[in-house]
Amino acid sequence: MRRPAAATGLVALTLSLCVAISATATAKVTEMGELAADVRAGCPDACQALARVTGYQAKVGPERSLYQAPADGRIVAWTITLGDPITRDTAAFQKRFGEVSQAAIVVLDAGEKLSRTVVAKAPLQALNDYFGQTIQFPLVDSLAIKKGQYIALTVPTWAPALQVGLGPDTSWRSSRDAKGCLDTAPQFALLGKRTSALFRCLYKGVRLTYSATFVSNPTPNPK
Amino acid sequence: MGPGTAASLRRAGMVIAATALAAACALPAVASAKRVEIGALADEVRGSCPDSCQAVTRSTGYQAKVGPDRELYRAPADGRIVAWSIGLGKPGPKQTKFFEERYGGAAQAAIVVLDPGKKLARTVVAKAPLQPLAEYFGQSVQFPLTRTLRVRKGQYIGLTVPTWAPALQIGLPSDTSWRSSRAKTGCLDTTTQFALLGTRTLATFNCLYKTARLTYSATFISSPPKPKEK
Repeated sequence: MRRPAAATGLVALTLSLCVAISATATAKVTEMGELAADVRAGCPDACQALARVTGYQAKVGPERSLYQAPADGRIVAWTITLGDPITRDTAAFQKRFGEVSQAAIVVLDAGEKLSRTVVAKAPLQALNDYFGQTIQFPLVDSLAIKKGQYIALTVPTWAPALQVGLGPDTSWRSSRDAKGCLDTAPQFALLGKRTSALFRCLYKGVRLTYSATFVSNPTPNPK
Repeated sequence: MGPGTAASLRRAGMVIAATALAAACALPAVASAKRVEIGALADEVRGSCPDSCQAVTRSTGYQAKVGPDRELYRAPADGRIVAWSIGLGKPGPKQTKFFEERYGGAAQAAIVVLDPGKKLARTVVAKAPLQPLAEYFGQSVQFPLTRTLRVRKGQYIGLTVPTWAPALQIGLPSDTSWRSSRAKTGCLDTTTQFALLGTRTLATFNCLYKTARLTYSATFISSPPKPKEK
């Protein structure tokens, strides 16, 4: 090897020959809410869509913290499994909720009871071109997230990203008004200046088919 | 179960109609885009310090080969670099002082994207902020990027070190090698600043260093495929 003299360390080399390297690995990539291969959004069969709402997955089976950050870090990408609605379903969703199916990932800070506030958000992503796929979107600007904060999905129009017919221990929560948990007409998505809501509406037996790629912040050596 | 849209659509009978039309159709669940660690570091890959302590200094480098593999540090597709990792040695205090005095201060490095030109010309087309490293010595540490870096298929991921970094694994077989931005006539000149920084974005990577590995990697996520034209 032609050694760059920075190989230099030769001087220092003899000074500490016997010190072992404490090779700790800090920070790691985690998929929050990882979508198993059998996770499928309902369309075209049992076609349902998420509409005009912000939601997060509260439970998947017994697990309650799949969508909460395990440490301080950054969200660098997000993934969504999209159903493939047939033309007639697509037309009906478009007529009712908007031409373009779209969604964005957001970070929710947990307040008292079920109060949640958007503290970071990614740009909205048009989805129509990806129906029928599990697709990952890397973020241009990653999102800061603190331990315990939630990753949620904001859908101002509609998105075929619901897996239905699951056990009652799987459930998601939405930003809809508690008096209108089944009212899909008003806009309840946390957008623009509207950044806070109570997530009282709980929908059992259903999964929102999204996940987020999380990288924890590095941990400095103790001083 | 009562998800949002479901209720009103079910009332309208739309869901039922759709179900009937598409019963038994399997979803073409294509997984597009994927996460790859470019130059993934095995557990044992670390900078050599304190034993046989060597450092990368004042240059930009990329790993040209690891064993027979020449493509480990090239993007496999268009996408973005969302984080980078470095396996740092742990120089002792005297070693650290030596490097700091000689190479301009505290250890630091940044990941860069290099576009290949003719022969061994490489141009920086994207770069992450410089990261101080001293407080992570001895760790394999990963840094998520606030602003991720765009990379195109075939471009290289390089490491820019304007001062020094204990990020060299040495004593490897001769089919493992890295290249640096140093002048061809000064491949062993570690004191001149050759790091691609500021307005200096282009260099010819003629200098090849065999049996050594730069202990860095980058987390890559491919871009979603372009929508089909309608």
